[in-house]
Amino acid sequence: VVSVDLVMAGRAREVTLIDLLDRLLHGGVVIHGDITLSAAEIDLVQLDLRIVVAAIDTAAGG
Amino acid sequence: MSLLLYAIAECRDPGSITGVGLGGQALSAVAEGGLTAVVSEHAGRPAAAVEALWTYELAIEPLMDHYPVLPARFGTLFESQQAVRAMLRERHDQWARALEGVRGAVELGVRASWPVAPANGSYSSRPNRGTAYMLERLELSRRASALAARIDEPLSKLARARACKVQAHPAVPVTAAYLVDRERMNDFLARVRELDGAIEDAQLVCTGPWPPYSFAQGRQP
Repeated sequence: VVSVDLVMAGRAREVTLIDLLDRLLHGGVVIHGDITLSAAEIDLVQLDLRIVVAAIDTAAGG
Repeated sequence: MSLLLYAIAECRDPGSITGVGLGGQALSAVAEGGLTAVVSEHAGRPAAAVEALWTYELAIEPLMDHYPVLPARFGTLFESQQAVRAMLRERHDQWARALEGVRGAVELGVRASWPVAPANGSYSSRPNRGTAYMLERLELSRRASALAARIDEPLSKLARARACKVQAHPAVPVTAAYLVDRERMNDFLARVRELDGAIEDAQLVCTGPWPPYSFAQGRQP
């Protein structure tokens, strides 16, 4: 993934990570019953807690 | 040992699938009915640490350079190759349609943020005072919708499909994903830059190209 840097580099990196989390935990093909992720396993360091937790909630409920 | 699913691909030569997945395990292919599931062996549940998520993403990205792919949600496990084949067989038509929808396209993410809280926008730290709070929320919602329209309308014209989320958020009011033909990527990025320059009160960041996570279920505009 190449981040297209339209603002500060640091901000772009942060957004790329949030985009990654949104996509892997919230998007993608869903096969019901096979998602075994649990919120306790998520490494929340350096992340925007509000956005990440929202994505995890969706994945865990999926 | 379970099988962790990375993606469903339209791949005529499943034997050509190579790569490294979580835990250093080799990627392998499970084929059924013209569809290929890309998997790796995995013991137990995958922990969604940031490093693991990047490993997962970087295992899928090379695949999309060669085949139409539907990335799987992180953490999708199967007990056996037979279970993977059954999934491919039972939902064959759904996967085939979705693969057709993403053929030759990539996903680009666009996120708009307000660099500072809008005027009177310290609402998140203000006490809830009935009418004043609601009016502030309404104003935030109106501004977010207006910003989304300025971004989404021109970008949608360059995309095959889109998913735009607007929220009355004081910092990140617009989050969007666009399914864009590979040959139109540069046009799309140029348009984002134009919009970023033209919209004075918001900053835009575009990320990608991503595998089509937001369009893997066959969602259309």
